[in-house]
Amino acid sequence: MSTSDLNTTLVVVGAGMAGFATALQAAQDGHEVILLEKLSETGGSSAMCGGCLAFAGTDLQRANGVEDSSELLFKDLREVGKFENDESLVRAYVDNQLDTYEWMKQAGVQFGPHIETSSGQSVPRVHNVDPADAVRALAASAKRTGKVRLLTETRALRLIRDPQNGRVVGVTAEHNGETFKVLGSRGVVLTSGGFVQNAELIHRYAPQYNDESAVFIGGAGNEGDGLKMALQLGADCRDMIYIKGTYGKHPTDETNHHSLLAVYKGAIAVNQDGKRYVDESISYKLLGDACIQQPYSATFQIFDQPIFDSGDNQTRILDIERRHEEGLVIQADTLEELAGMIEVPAEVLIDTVNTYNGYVDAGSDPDFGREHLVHQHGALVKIETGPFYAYPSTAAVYGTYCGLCVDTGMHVLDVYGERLPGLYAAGEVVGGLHGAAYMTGSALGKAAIFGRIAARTALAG
Amino acid sequence: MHVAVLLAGVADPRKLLPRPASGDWRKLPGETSVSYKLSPFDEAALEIALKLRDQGAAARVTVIVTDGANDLALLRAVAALKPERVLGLCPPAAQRGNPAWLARHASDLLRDGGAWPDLILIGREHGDLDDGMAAAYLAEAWRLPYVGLALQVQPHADGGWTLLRSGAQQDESLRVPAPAMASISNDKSNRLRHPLMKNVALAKQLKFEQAAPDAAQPAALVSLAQAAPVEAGARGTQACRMFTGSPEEQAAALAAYLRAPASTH
Repeated sequence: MSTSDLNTTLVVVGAGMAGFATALQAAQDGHEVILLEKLSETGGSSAMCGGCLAFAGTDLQRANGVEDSSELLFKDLREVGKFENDESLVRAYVDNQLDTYEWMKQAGVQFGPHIETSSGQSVPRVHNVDPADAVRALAASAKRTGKVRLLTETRALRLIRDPQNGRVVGVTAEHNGETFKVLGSRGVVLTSGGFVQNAELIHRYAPQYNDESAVFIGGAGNEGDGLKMALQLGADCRDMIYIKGTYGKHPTDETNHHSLLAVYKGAIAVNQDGKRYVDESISYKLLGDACIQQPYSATFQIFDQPIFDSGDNQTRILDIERRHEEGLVIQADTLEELAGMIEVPAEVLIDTVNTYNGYVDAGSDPDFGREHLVHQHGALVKIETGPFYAYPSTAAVYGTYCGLCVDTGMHVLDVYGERLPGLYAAGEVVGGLHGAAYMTGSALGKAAIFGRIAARTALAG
Repeated sequence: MHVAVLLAGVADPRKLLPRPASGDWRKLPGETSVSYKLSPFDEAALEIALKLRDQGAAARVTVIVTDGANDLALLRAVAALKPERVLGLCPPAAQRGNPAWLARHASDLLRDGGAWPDLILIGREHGDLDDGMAAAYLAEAWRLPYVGLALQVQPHADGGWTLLRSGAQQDESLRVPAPAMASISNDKSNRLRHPLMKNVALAKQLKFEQAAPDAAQPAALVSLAQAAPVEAGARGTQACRMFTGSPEEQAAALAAYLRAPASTH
């Protein structure tokens, strides 16, 4: 052992929401933690995301007159994941979500007063936070315990196993060119995020996504480090084929990285030919996949003034007004003029809108089967009152939503379904919760929820 | 009507300058590996030209890119907005920011059969090395009527232009005959539109004209003797300081920090 090696109880790799949730939970339970972050700044993708967390049965929902329950959340998560997700992991999320919501509040996370409905939700369930502030709040709470040592600009390189029993006992790490070991008596929790910044790896699993067709946005450190370290030990993965971009990212704007989902307020999505191509109420991940297959991998959300006015400036993905102020929404007095501005055939766009409006009147969409604004929520509205708007949209890969197989205690599993002793994972590096698609707020939610579970399991083991 | 826009890229501040393949930093400005972006002033000039075409006041828009002319991504970004013509005119390293060089070499490119475009627009600063004199110098050299710091342009039925600008005390409207030249400042009204993805894709298939500097022109007396990258500021070497306590305590701490000599920070 080198003099520069470090010893602690639990080693946590990656200082985003999952990393700090793990570290804070472990510290609150009385244990020492070393938290490694390869970048100079903490927060990762968590700090850059839309700030939505999916919880059910909260005081905030009740204050907003929303009736929700763990069972409805479970049902929605399973449905939106097309039952491809791991039922036991969904159950672990659901069973621990309400407690985690309260725990986050106690840790200083500030939730906005407003509740919204978004992808995959039957009822309003989006709990809003400023994501960077939320991570900072957990970080500050962790620091106050005096038990969490954060090492930034320190990259975990490889997992270390006990040569006698194969148990994971730490990592090799590198800081300022020096390599050393960080050893944890209770093992290692990988909270290193996904691999959204590794386009080559994404393309390997999801060939339709590449630098030409999609936008990749996420933490600069999300290159798949933790995934690769676990794979080297024989870990198994799941949901890899379900990597999808999120619909609603402006394809050529470089200043606002967030998606806009005017479709969830009643807009339709049309391609460069002026035609609809999808049921716009489905998960924005499925919308992203549908979009990427359209000409030029980009489409337009088309809406009118009442839909514009129904936008919600408390929820980033529904904040139409802000995008308009940023000059990203194309506006015209008539559909014909709008068609000219977005270079689609005017007669086709007008026919598409008129046909859709007829479906709304008839209560049936024979083309794509759209029945609601979003998932199973909200009555459809016609697009008929100018001015009319178009929001250019493509799919942005914000996260990979797939990764290591874990059990309900966040033990990492090998390709035979057996635990890799001493190795745990939480957050985006974990696969199995989302399945085929994704409910808004479940990624940031699982970071916090699974991080706490991982800490408790590791420390109990 | 023919509207021309002179653009000069500015080095993309989000990207590190690459070491020139030759190792000679004097070669850097013309290297294809350097990423350039349009300045807000250039973006505004281009947007005004495109608006004039949208309104039917301009039949065609020509864009000449000087600094950054060898950056294919910059040329494609401009072409994706569908001006009728985009061409590059890369100045020698020592002539960047020299309006005299530009006046000599751009005039033939701008004129069609000897006729000036009806309007020439240029950002109020032309690239990283212009101190703001390029626009007026060019207008004087080309003997074109000139308006500086315009924000909007409106066509006139008689073929001239009305240029709007905001002065220190008042908004102004100036009339000029065509052909004319204007430097453009930026505001919300002339924010550059975003290209459609369709046109981004199509622009990737285009090949761009590159104008060769006129060999008949007298040789420049200025040459770039030496160049070296600026030492990067050591971001993060000074620890951030978080003010805590009540708002009053934080305000007092901030005030004390600001009053203290910089050397003590």
